[in-house]
Amino acid sequence: MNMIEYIIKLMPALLEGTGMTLAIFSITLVISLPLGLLVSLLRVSKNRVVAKAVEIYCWVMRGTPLLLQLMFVYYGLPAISPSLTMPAFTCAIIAFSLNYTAYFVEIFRGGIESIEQGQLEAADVLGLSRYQTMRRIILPQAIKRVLPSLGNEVITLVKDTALVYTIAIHELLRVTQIAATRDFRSDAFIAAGVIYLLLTFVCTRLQKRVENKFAYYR
Amino acid sequence: MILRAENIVKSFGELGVLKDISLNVNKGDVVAIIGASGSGKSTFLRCLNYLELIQSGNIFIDDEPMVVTKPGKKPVYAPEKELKTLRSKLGMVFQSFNLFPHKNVLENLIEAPTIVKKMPKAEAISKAEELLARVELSDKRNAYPYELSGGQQQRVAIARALAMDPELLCFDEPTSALDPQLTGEVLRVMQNLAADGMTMLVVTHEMGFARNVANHVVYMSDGLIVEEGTPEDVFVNSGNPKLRAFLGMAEEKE
Repeated sequence: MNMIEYIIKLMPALLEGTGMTLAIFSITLVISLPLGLLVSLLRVSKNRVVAKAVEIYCWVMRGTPLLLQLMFVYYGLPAISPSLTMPAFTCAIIAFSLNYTAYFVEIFRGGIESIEQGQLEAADVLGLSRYQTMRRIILPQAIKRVLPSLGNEVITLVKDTALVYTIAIHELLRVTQIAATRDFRSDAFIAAGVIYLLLTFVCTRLQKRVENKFAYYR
Repeated sequence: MILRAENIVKSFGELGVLKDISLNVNKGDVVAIIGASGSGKSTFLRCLNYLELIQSGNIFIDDEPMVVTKPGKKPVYAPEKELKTLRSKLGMVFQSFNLFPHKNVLENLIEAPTIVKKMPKAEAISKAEELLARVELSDKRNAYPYELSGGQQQRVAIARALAMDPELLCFDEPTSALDPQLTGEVLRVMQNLAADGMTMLVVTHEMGFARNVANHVVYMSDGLIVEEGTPEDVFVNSGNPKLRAFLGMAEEKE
């Protein structure tokens, strides 16, 4: 069987794995992007205790391997109490969402803090409340500034989904590896690589489109 | 009396910036505050607008207390709601314009009226258009700030402040970030406002403006008012050596 035939034969399995990869990717994003934005507001809040708590959360999440966090939720929690046993997919979503939220918090914080003091003062003397200033003046500008960093993080997430193969989730890499060892062939890896490339390519294009949408001002 | 500031004291840490400043502004006044950089004049303006907190003194707006200091006590500001009402009577124009870059000229002008005053959008727009005509920028209503020159941006900023109907418009060195060519167009707009009876408090390095447009000139040095009076009092009659030296330097620069 030549490479093309082999990959065609493998395609249904690969696509199924890709479906799982996409599920973890998109659910994580849908949870952690808005959550990251919300929590970043707490991170820049005037309440020192709240800001510090968020800072520590981000420090832990960004300072330890995502793989460790994933294993902790899947293997570690049930060891603490059997009632904390959850399906692998749920564990993956929890670990990924908590981890990526931390990264997004830091990205949004950087954007918010990069907005000039003069913008706050102008809004303030015009009578806008703190909330209105954040919502209408600061965030729209901050989001534009952080789009490149967000794009980076989203692309990293595509590839990070491969980590869940360690907790027996049949995503793209696991499906590939099973086939490759079973058939003792290397082309499955190449096929999987091409699929990852396609996924990240689509992300890059989407990022470009969003950036263009914000390009009407400087 | 629109503004009454009494014995304002302000310091940043050890550094005393305002040592004891008192100033009254009546309706229709155009008050110019002049002085060297670091004399505290911008800080004074920022204290009036609640962008800086004072350490001691009283500020009354329309004879209502915004902040009052009892002897030996810390200053007490008006409760939030009153403070907001009082502050809304002051407008502010910044040295660096501070237009909202993600909003076009018209959106910059209607932002506060629609959001803060809940003015219907159509009304806010027609008012904004009148103001744009007043600062001679009607053709720029759909432009974004980055497409405008510094002088145009500052004129938009003036219109934006006027859109909230302030009783007193404060200017913090409105032309200091502009080259001489663009300075002229901003000063002309300010001069027209003065002629229309707008009450203005202007921190400026433009001696020509202070001399020809203001009816009251204040000279500040090292956190104190050293001299004040009519333009003639300050520019011609005063024999204060500090003021004379300052004016001499300002003249040389021109």
